[in-house]
Amino acid sequence: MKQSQAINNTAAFFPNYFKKIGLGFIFLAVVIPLCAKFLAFEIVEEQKDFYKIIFFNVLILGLFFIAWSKDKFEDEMTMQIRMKAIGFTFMTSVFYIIFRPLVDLILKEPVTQMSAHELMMFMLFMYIIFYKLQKRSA
Amino acid sequence: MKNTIKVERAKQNMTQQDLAEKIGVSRQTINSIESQKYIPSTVLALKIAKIFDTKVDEIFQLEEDDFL
Repeated sequence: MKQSQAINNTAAFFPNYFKKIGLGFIFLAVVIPLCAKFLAFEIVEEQKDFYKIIFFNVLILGLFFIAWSKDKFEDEMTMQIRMKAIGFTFMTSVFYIIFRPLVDLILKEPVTQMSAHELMMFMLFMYIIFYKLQKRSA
Repeated sequence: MKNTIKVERAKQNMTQQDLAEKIGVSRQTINSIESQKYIPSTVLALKIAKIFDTKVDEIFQLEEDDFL
């Protein structure tokens, strides 16, 4: 259905089929490391961190494609829900950064520096979950 | 903000889906507007009024809470 620009202002998002591409990326990022582990595929110790970064990047890209692609039907209400989800994600991320070291302290685990990958994955997960919940209750 | 979309639809024997298709939004959006969970933009409000051949303020009315 053709929509006016005032109602469907979603040009910045990927087309709907990117959700499937994103799912494919997540599948690869989960299945390949699992296969490598079960098949006892030998990885040189120095290359472990490199592969870890690659798979985390693929996982983040998959989540990003799912989060940032259009639904089958987009209108001004879905845009408002997206804005709410982005706001909620921003707020929860701030709390996550502040309180995660405290949780480590309470559980008597070593307090570690949070990686950018961990934060980005948390933000993408929160956005996707909050968007779906908001859309369902709308 | 309350609205009379449901009444106007009933007068014209129109379903939520029919109205949604005419103004280019989803049926879920119409449902949310009718149940006052979502306040439409000016463009959408004008389009709805035009479909029912009436004025915007005859469909959408401010309530006392809106002035707080």
